[in-house]
Amino acid sequence: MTRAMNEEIKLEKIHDYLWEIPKKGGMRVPGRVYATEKMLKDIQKDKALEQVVNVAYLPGIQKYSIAMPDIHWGYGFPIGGVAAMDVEEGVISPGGVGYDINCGVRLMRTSLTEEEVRPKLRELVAELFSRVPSGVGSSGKIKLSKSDYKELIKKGAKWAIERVWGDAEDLERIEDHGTFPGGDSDTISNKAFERGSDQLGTLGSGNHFLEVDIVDEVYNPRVADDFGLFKDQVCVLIHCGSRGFGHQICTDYIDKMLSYMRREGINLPDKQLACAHIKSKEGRDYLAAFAAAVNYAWTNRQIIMAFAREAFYRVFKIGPRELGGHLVYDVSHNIAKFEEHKVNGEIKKVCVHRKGATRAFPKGHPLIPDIYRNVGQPVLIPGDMGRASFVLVGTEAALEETFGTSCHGAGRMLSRNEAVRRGRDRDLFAELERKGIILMARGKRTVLEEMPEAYKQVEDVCDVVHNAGIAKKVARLRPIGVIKG
Amino acid sequence: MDYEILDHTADVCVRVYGKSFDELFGNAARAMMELITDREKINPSQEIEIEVRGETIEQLLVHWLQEILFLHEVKKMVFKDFRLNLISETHAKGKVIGEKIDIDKHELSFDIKAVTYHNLKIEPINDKLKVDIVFDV
Repeated sequence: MTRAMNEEIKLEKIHDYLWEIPKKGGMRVPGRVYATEKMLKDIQKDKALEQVVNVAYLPGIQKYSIAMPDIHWGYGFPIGGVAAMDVEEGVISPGGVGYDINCGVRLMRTSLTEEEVRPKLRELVAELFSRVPSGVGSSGKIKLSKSDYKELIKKGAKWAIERVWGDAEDLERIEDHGTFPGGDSDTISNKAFERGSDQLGTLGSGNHFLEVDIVDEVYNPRVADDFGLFKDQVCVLIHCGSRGFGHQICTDYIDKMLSYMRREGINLPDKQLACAHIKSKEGRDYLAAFAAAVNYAWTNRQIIMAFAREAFYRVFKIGPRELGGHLVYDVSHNIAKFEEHKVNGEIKKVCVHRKGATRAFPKGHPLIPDIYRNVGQPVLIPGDMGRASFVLVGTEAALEETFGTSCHGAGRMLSRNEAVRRGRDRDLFAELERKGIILMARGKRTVLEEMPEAYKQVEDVCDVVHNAGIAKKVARLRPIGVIKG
Repeated sequence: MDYEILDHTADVCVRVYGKSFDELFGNAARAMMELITDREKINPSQEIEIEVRGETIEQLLVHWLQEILFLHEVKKMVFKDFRLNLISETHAKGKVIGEKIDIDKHELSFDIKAVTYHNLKIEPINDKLKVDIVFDV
């Protein structure tokens, strides 16, 4: 087995925003990278393209190993990678989903404007910070018993709504209505249950956050209106996943799949690409455990949104009607989904791995909710805490070219250590405050790691997907309140 | 040098050295704990025994670190020291020594989600063993 490592990776230009890595060695399909020529220079500095090549070795991969413009060096799969596998012959790879199974983003809109919120902003951010536990090892007030777990892993966000955290309307605005079928507790280790038992309703740390944002610019008024967005509107953006529950499930199954690969004689360039055939026992068991973690993550974001609504009610002394706190959408960007896509002119069922990539289905697609059927799926792209985030809409071109997928974020530019080194003498709290942003965080180090300059400009990333046509810009969000771990 | 922290864009990578597998595993655990918190501030007041198995020596190393990470997260502890006896290349017994997390005393810097197998290979270098480990944070 030849390793792609250390070999120069050649790129052929398809158009200004798309490059192809020709098939060679053990690659089953070519690689495709969405980026500008300028971005490619940065991308080529680390081993991300080598990882695009490695993913092309996976059994059953269809059409291309795809990378989004926010691609960066991960482990196994690159972050920003997309790979669709044939469901009969292909594999499922836990590393192709990521440790944080169903990490994702949700956007809640409100009826409030910046002018109305500004006078009480500090109080609001403090209230959110006290209600939503965050930080390294954060644990919450909700303790899950075995019977809670049993229900939660089958029902997902519906479990939260049946209690006190949200309304039935929220479910229509989550991918798959917030329930991933097939969650089975027999496929999950006690360790996973233990790790997740006190982490529901918590953000965690790293790049996870809760932000109060303002709709700063509207690029497409008609679509923005259909999404319920207007200029100067206050929104809440939440980014987190399945916490220790998902991390442990991924950990457990990478091991099981390494054994499977040794037994089946499957050799891959990197052990972290560990996989099993979708139809194998290992593949099916992973999918049942994975489904449970997907449901955990949706429940987690649902509960955090409910906490955020409560914070607004309390600070502004208003009720649900005055707040108008409606979910716009909830996207999953570390996920594998069974979907039908056109491959070589024929509609085929595939398992689409999106590792740091967001579904971007066009209007009319049967898998998007009725309320967005005539406009397309909202695509939520968080940026960094000092600059901007974006709302886009899915397109037909994404369905044709990328298995209905777009980017997921800005993508890191500096390593965490480099960011800490550069930020050591800076006071990020004061710097952001001068820009009108109130930041509250548990960890000083996290704030430095997450400083705006550690990330690529999210606008550049969104411009690439917009110009390539695999999602279209709708609105830009600007942070005014940030909670970090 | 027992270990050094290497740059990795999205995650965290450490390079660990040891004269024997026992020492390599101990240094890897020290490196991981140093990423989590300042080990100097940990009082070695409580011992927990660990037994791990793996199909290869690399897998054994990953399982050893995963077990420590699990105890850190679930028992809410931090560890100052690590003792390990390799019974074979697929079986090890050891002890981790530390205390319960005290938020006022132990500042936690990294939330390590997992120990990865990314390009993981234990290699001899001069008279030592060397391994690079990528953690998902």
